[in-house]
Amino acid sequence: MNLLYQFIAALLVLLLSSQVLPPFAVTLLTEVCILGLFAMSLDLMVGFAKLVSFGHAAAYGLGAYSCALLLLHTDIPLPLALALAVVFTAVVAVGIAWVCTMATGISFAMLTLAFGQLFYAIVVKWASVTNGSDGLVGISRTAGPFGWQGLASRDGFYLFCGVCLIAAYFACRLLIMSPFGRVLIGIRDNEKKVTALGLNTRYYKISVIVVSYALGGLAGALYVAFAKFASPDLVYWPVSGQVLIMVILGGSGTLLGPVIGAAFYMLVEYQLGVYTDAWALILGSIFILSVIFMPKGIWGLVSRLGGLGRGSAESLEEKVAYEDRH
Amino acid sequence: MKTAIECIAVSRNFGALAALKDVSFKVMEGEVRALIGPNGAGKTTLFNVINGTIKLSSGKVRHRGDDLTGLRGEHICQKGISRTFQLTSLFPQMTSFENVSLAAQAKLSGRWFPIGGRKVLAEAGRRANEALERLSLKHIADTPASELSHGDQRLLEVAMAVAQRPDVLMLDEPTQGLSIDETHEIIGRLRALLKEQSLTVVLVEHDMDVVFELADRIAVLHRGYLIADGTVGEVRGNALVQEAYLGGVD
Amino acid sequence: MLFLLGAGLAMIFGIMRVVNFAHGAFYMLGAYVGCSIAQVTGSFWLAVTIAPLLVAGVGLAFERSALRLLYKREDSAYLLVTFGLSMVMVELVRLAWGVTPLQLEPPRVLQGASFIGADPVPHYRVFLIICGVAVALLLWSMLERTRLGLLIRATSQNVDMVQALGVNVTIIRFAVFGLGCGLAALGGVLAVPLLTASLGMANLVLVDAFIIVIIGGMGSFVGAILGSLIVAFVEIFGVYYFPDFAMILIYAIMLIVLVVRPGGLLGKES
Repeated sequence: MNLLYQFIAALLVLLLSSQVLPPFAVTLLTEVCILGLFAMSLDLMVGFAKLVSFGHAAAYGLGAYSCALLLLHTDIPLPLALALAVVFTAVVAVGIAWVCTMATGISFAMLTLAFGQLFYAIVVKWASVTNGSDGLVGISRTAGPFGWQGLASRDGFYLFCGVCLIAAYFACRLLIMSPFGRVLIGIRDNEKKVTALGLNTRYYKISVIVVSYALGGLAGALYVAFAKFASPDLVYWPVSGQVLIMVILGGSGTLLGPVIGAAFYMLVEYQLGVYTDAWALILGSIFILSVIFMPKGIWGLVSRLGGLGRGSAESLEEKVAYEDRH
Repeated sequence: MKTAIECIAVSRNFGALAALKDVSFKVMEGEVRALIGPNGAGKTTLFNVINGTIKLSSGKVRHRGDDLTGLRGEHICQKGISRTFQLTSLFPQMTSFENVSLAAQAKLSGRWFPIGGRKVLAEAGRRANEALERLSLKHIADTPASELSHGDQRLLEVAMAVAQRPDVLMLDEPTQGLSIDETHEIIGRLRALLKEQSLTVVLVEHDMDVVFELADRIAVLHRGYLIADGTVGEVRGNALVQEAYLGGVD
Repeated sequence: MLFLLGAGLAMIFGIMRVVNFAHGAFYMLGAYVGCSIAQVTGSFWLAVTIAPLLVAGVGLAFERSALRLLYKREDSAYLLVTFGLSMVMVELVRLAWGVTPLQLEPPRVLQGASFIGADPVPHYRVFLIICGVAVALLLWSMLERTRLGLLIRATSQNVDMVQALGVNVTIIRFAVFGLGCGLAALGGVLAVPLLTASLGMANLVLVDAFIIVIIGGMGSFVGAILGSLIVAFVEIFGVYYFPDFAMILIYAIMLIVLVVRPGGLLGKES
């Protein structure tokens, strides 16, 4: 199976990179992996079901804070804390998705924004649990299962984040290739027709939102383990905006594009940020221009130049469908 | 002969406007039933009441004895009633094959599997190829739907409905917007389809040639009332019908 | 009573069915520009009249150059670009005016308060209410009674039809956008004496206006009024009884309304 080889290849590249790259690069790449995962999770909703969300920071925050609280107050191994954080995020996401899918288009987007704001308000106000604006500090990465200390180190954690990203990517690809994924793409293309074909689009939308939030929650949880603190800034609405920019700039509907978008964003923030205070302004302007003139994002640009597949900026699922059929 | 669809005293009001007034009629298994009438007669409304897109204000709709009243469009489709749209509605970025495949998949159990589902997809693909074959669309299977000619798009919609293996096929003005040649083409394909397999068809049409070629029985609506119901010959000679068409602008 | 300003914004959303993410940012820009004008000229009234015009100008420039290109597109481009614009504007304001919130004194005439029973009623708030009602009435009568208003409503519902009738849709969209920006800016300037001008205003007012529309219903003038009244009441009582949870209470009500009557309390089915 083609996918299996790709998966193994990716893991090997990851392993190699941890050996070859200098320490500061490893730390940087860890953050890229986490943000990339965050962006990719949003792409699932935005790029494959046309559910534009302005509140994805809520997913990040839900995962972050639940993981933070688990790590602070209990001794459970890190992977378990992450898993529980993901589950918690997914459960809350069901409620959020159920409400938001009552509307479509801009109303849907505004509802996600409202939930994002709501979560921020809860985090700030519920100081007894979340420590309010000061945030939760002093979080340590607990040991892995059976007391394995591998995750506490920089390299070990980098590998772990890399594996999470790669695994999530391939899981998403499998999802898109499945019958469920086909329906999702149909919803993106023409939702009314999907209903006419006899499918309840609302269930599909809720499901993809839950998965999207769950993966976003994983990113948030990983971030907390990475940075060893959690603060309301993680849930502040600009975060939702930033991740959306990463998705669109990178190329929505491609899964990998948003990861590139995340890397690009970080690049601009850190490199350009050294020279000017106006880097966010520049980034925002690039974003506007890219929406207008470059709808397929960076990934679209790159794949067109690289001549992938049949020589055009093909989307991921088109290629996959082609493979399936022949 | 069994009854496929039965409408009993169906009325539909939009506020003060009565779009359908106490319409009762039957569609028998295996026949091609046309719904005709001048503009504003209520044929599209009745069509949409049957397939669940619009709720009726009073009355009942039955399918093989099952009460369909109040069910949503998706459920009615799952019960075996597939439809096409008056304004072409396809998945423009997918190929013809993918369009029909998704339509077929929607009726298979396991249509929602988030992982794997190879068997489901394979079966959907089989049914898709079958439907494309029957409507002679195999040659454009890999073309994106947005690049098809208008006539081929209309046929593709029919293929999608057929791939769902429905009990009742509902066609909403299939020749809408087609040229004379394209209309002949589509009539030919539909006839071939009907010859191969007896399908129950409910057809809304403006083009009388199409109706007279394909329909077994015709129901005529005018201003929300059912004014005539019978075979082609009976309806042709009906004075009320002639008046309805000549009296108003069509 | 601030929500009557939000109602103005909400009406732009609801009645014209044109939702613009950047409206929140124009509201904010209006506030800041107004402050600067007041600082330079020393006059509150000048600020209130000039700022909306300037900001509307900015909005129109953007519409002319960028947004026009997007009307043809089916995807979420319009939504994303207005969102991007909103972010860019917040950044511009931050760079130009800094992070510290700005203050504005209401003019002598409107300062102070009178007493109704035991509660102090600040004059400025009364002024705001009057302004809000006046703007609302003006807008409503324009939309319902004039030919331009008719064209605007028609365009928001069926663009192709209006175009087929030979009307220049581009100019209408242009005008509507400008009007929306100007009104938002006006709201922003008027709000400053109460709220201070801050970077967070943009988003807050957007969500508030949206909640008002959800509760009151899209497309309904009276619904917008009702919505803002409900939200205002909840805000007041919430702050009194559950200070920490006032905002959450509002969200809860919004949720209940959504579940019970998805179109809003007085919304019109589309």
